[in-house]
Amino acid sequence: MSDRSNHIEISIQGDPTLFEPAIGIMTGLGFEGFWEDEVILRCYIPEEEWTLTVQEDFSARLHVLSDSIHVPSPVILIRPVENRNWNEEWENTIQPVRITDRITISPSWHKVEPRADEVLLTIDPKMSFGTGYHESTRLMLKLLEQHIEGKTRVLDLGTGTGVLAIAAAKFGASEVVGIDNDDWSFDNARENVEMNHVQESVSIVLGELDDIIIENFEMILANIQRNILLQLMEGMCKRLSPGGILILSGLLSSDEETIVNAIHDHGLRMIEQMQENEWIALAARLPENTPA
Amino acid sequence: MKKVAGFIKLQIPAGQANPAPPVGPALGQKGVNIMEFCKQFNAKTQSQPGMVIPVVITVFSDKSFTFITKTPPAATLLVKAAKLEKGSGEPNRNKVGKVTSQQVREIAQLKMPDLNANDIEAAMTMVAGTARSMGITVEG
Repeated sequence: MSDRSNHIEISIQGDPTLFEPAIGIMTGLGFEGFWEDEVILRCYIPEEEWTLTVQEDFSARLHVLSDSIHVPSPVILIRPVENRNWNEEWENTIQPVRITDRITISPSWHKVEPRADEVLLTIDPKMSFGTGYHESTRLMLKLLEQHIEGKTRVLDLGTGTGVLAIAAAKFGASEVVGIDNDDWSFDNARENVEMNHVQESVSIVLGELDDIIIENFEMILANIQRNILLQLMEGMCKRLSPGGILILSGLLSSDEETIVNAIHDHGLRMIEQMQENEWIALAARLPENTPA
Repeated sequence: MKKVAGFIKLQIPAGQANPAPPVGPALGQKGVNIMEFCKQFNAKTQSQPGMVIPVVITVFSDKSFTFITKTPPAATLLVKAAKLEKGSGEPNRNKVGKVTSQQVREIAQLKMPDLNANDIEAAMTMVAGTARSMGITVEG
């Protein structure tokens, strides 16, 4: 998840022996990430956390540190970094990706003429996940294609570019909700939904699972990561209609046992598993006779 | 063999990589798919919540990439152990904080895979040295 707050970049130029202890100290002050090359350590903190107290603590501690390891005080440069689409350069290189005989994903700037029986998903990713370049997206789409027939209400948790929600709509689902807690994904998914002309059947929500009004879904999709899926498991199962299908990915093959156990613990039955390289996706069904 | 276009060295929180700086600008300028890196990094480091993880990304000329992660820096672990947090007031000029020798042992055990140390005692000496260099005293 990332919101769109700007960051402050602190560049420390000086003796590299200073870098590791400086990183240690700065993580204690709320710095979130570091980028190191031979002579510069760049440190990042969200703009709103760069308060006067943090600034004073930072200067005092760095001074103590350079004194205690007997190196000259480093040169410090401080500048704001505005958030923007950092993925532009990569976006320029992407090509259409064929996922199955029936599904192709393409950015809008490549003109692809789909065959009559083909589902073309037009996705401009910007800074969201879900382009068909990653194994987990491909596995999700394959399982979705196999199990979506006859499903009307579909929920896509962690929708990213909206690719799975859009695919569900193009395969006939009429009430699709894509939700993400990331600002970039919210905007990007909405743009992609419009580009694919599925806005009548797909709504994109910014928030968490509890923010969704519809009570149950016939299919729930979630391509996230193990720990988050485990946290969401109970909530997802509560929203699944009897006979409904849960499809999960963002999982490594080493996550299989934990996730399959959690699926069984919640009364679902495994129906299919797919793997590509080290990534897996699982499909499970809630039995028909489960009380709502 | 693919041609290596460059290396990127970052330290970011386990399981929480996102396209904000430093990941966005560092990978973006090399034309790497930022979101794919985040997905892989988060899946592989999610078992270490709250840790800052060093990662070295190798970027190839076709914009593909691989990466390796390392154990968290001793300095970060020491700061955590000494409970040095923001807003704790004016730091003492000579003493930043303190840790116990048991904490030094635990950090040394965690760091063993990345330290050039023959045994745990040697690793502890290295960690204690880092602590001293940061003004953190080792007690007990």
